[in-house]
Amino acid sequence: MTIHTARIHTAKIQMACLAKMEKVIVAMQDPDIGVKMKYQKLLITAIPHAVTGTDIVEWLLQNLSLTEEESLHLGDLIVKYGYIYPLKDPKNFVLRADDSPYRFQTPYFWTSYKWPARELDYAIYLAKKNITRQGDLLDYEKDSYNLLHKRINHTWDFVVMQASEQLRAAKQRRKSDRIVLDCQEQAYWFVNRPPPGVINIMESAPKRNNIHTTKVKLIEYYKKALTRSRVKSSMSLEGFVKRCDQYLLHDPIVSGCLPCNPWITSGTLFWTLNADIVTIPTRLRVERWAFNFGDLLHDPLGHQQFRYFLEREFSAENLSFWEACEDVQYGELSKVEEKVEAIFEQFLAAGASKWVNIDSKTMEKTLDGLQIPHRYVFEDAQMHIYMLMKKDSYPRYLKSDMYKSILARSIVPPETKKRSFLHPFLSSMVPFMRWHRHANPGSAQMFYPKDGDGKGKDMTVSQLCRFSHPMANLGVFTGPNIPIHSEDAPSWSQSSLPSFCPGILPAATSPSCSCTDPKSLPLNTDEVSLETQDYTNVEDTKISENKEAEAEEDEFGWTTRC
Amino acid sequence: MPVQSSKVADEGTANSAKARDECRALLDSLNKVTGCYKHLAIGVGGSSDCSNLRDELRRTRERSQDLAGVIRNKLTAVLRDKNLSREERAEMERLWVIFSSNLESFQVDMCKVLELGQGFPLSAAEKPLIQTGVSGGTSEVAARALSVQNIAHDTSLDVDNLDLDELEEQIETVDRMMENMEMKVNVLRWTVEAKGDAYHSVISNDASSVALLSAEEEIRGSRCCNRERCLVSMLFCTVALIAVVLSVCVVNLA
Repeated sequence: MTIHTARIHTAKIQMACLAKMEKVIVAMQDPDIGVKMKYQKLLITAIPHAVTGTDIVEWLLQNLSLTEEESLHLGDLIVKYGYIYPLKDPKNFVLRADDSPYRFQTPYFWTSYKWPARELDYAIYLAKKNITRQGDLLDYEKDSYNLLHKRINHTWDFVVMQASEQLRAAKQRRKSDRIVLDCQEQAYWFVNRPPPGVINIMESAPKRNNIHTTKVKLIEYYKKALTRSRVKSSMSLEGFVKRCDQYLLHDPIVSGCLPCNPWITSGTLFWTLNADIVTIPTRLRVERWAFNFGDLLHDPLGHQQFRYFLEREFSAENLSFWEACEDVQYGELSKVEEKVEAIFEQFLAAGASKWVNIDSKTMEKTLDGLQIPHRYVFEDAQMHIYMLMKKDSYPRYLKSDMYKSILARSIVPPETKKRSFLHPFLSSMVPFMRWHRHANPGSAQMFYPKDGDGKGKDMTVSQLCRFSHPMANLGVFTGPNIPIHSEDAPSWSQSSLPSFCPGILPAATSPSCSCTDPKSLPLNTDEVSLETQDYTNVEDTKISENKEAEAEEDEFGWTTRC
Repeated sequence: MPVQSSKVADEGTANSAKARDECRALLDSLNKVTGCYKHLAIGVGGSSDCSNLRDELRRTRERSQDLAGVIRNKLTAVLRDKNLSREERAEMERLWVIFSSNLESFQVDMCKVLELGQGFPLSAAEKPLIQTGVSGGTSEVAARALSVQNIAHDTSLDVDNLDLDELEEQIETVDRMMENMEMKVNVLRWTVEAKGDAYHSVISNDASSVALLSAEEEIRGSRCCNRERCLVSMLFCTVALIAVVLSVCVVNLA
């Protein structure tokens, strides 16, 4: 059901040509200078307000100062648009410049784009015709009737009711009026639902997009799409899982960053340790170079190291060539030409200083492409050299002493923790708030699922403390809880080990908490101190054992425990 | 116990049957009024347009507004009742669809009348009415429309330009009514099946009414409009009689 509002429809403007025609029609009605009206004689009755074709043409000729041809054409248009309908030949809406009678259409039935003829109204009209003629409709009317019956079947009762009602209402008028009304309605529907073969004046210009061609294009596209090679989702998921596994430890959000996350602790140690060129890289970084060649090349330090290696092997020109090609690809458009020239001089010309070894086919293609230098002329050659390096130099580098030495030199920055400055008891609880990483294999075993006895094998001291405390069994989880990478992780998060959360439980019972969650620390001090007297006593003994071995001050004055 | 509960059930069904019949009767009236309104609206701007017509339009419109309001309340109340049986609900949904189609048609007609009324003001002498050939009065149609049950009716107002502003307001009221209806009751139109003739047999037999319609037309047509034809035929009859008498006389003479 569409909802019309008067406002919405008054906002729409009637089509210009129709508005003009309406003006002409109204002008024709003028009693003084309007068209002469005659009577239409039908059997006995005479219906007023009939106009002959010649009268119309003449009036147009005189009042709109047109030529005869123009006035005939204009009159014809007016008839075609339904403002005047023929009386003698109702199926043929043509203006004949003779004495064939015409009559003006009532404004309710004027052609309009604001009030387009609705399906419902057409159905009612056809139903009326069906009732009066007892089924004797024209072919196209029959088809439309059946179609409408199917389409708006849910409201067909209304259609029939309205049709009969309108017929009954019309019977209240006198005969001549009824004839006129019938003719009017018939003319209206002739214009708005023309029979096949008659031009539909309500139609707009030919549609821009030819349906046929768009459909054909669509079909072609989908055919091609069907033939695309697809990877089974199981395989792609496997690949995805493998990648995730491989990079898991390197992901700072999932696995945390050593020494500490700069965004949480506001300590920039992480960034300084992982700067572009640094003498002692972190272990993770160096390990990552072994994953694939791209990782090595895109890491500045790795790139540098690789370059040194290649220099030792006297094949550094490959890398230089590759770098130069990258520069062209991603560099300024204005400098592309000169760069291409320079590359050619340096690397590709016969007898060049840094001649690279490219196979003949690619070389030919590249040299041809040099005629019109653009960003991607060296694409093939670059790819060739890249694969060469990847297959040949890269594995050798990974096996080389250079790589091994840097790997050995690399450090694992220990995790730092903000020293609690607030409470002595709290500080003693610090080791238990530490977040042990997988990097310490010993501590990885700290996290066992909370089963019945709560005591697993190989438990470290701190864990023993934890499980012995009754409050450790509380299963409240209200604070931030950063999962750690271990097989136990899922079950651990569900276990009853509470995290270090403000104001709920003693902080000491949580072995894993955001080690650097400064907000939680201040709130906890007061509650914790009272509740965990016993616990801390137990702890102290353990801590004292650990303290000597582990306490160390790092450069920031924070006490860290390994 | 079971007797009592069945009695209650009977009452319940009796109530719902009563409600249903009421709704049907009201819908029938609404249908009549909107049909007549449309018939009258066709005349706006034409040669039969006059203040009478506008007045009749206004009164018909008011009547249909009242009816629509009543039906809407009834139907909404019935359809929101969760305890309706499936057949009842199907029937009510059918009535609902009829009602909403009615309202939709009525609203379009109202908008058209508003526009045409503004376009062809009766008072302005410069804008003549279109000579459409319709010369008779529409009072019978209006009487037919207004003969439906009178709900609650204000005294008729003067016919002047206030009518058109009122019309706009009324259109908006109907809009809101329809929107409201859609919000309150969710009727899936595609599930409604038109009963067709079965419905009509309840109120008025369609087949017989068709016959009546066409038959009536013949009678009325020949009766009401062809006075002249009657005169002529009478003249013929007398002439024939005279001829017969004369021939008899001649025969007698001969």
